[in-house]
Amino acid sequence: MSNLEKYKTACNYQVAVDDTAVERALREYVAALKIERDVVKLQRGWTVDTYPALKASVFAILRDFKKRIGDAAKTAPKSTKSPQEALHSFTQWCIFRSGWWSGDLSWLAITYFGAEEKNLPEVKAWSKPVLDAFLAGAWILYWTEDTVFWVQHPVAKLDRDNRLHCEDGPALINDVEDLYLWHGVSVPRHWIEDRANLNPAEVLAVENVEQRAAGVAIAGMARMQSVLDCKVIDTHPHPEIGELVEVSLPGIERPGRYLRALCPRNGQIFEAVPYVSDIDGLPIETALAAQAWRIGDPQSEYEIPPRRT
Amino acid sequence: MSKRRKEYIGAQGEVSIFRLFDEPDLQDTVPGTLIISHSESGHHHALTGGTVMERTKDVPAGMKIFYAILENPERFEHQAPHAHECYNLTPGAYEFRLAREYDHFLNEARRVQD
Repeated sequence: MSNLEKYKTACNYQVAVDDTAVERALREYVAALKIERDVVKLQRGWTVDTYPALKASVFAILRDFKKRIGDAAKTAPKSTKSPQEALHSFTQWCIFRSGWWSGDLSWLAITYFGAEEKNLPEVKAWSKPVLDAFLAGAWILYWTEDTVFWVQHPVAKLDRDNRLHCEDGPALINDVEDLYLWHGVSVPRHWIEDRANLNPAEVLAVENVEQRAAGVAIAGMARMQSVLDCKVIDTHPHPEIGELVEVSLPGIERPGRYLRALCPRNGQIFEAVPYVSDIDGLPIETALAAQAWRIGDPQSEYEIPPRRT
Repeated sequence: MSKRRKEYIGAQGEVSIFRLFDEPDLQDTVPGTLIISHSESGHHHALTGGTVMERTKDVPAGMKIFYAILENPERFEHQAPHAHECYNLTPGAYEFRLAREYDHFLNEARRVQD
């Protein structure tokens, strides 16, 4: 199998992880860069206290943040997490939010193919060990003052369209932080792990429509309607125009009105509309009127889009 | 003929696309970019070319309205895996309206975020 074929397989995280081969390749990479670093694998279940070099790096970043934001730190919203949980989350963030030199090694490893094509020995000297490390199962690098930490390839669970998806656990199982996705849309952990108790009001309060559509699907429409006391006000025969429904929301006296319609890509969408349109001053009593308000049209001028994708 | 002097081409997610029969009045506009609807997750709705202006006057709360003048055939794409299908647009003038929704908790309109 050619290196390119091996690379493609590795991009799907379908390689057995060989710790010895990864660490040998990464030591070659460090030597090629003419620097000194210990090479250490980040093991599942880690805490910052497990790795003093990691802890020192994260505290250095926190000190830098504090220096840059000055007094703004005093007015920042307080985290609901314990200090230990907050530090762990921040460390996960630091490892995931890295640049081209670390992050997903597939990006850096592909440099080798260009260097080979162009016959650039100096580039091949460092990019070949990176490719070797990736092919042996390294996924992410995190650099500190004296150590380069590596994380092994994740396990990815996919739907039939190749999107990250798992209905009863993390869709991307990895040693930094397991990630939860619903047909490719990132969702909070508790939406999946505590699905039976997912609060429909929390789903409806989410700003991102992709996430909200995922939340509606996770909770299930039947549950969304039964828990939230959902009343249908108007139904249009075209499913993409949808229904106007009224939903009792916790903490709000008057029920909220929502447009519930079918999106060809996102599935069922749930978008809130007001009681009265600010465009023509007319009450919004039908799904069509809600669609008109949505794009800033008077109800009398709204046309159904000839195509919706 | 539409009394609004425009033809509804279709919708791509939260973006409605209209073909204008006349050149738009660009007096109350500012230059825009080819990204018509920006997405935090990088799933932008964008044109492949043309000149884009954003309307600044008489825009309903929570919405955004853009005009695009296309000298050549262009595509309006959704830059995402499993994207909304794209539109092939012929040269001419277009209006793009970004949908809004209401926030019952804040009592205000806001842009639909894809």
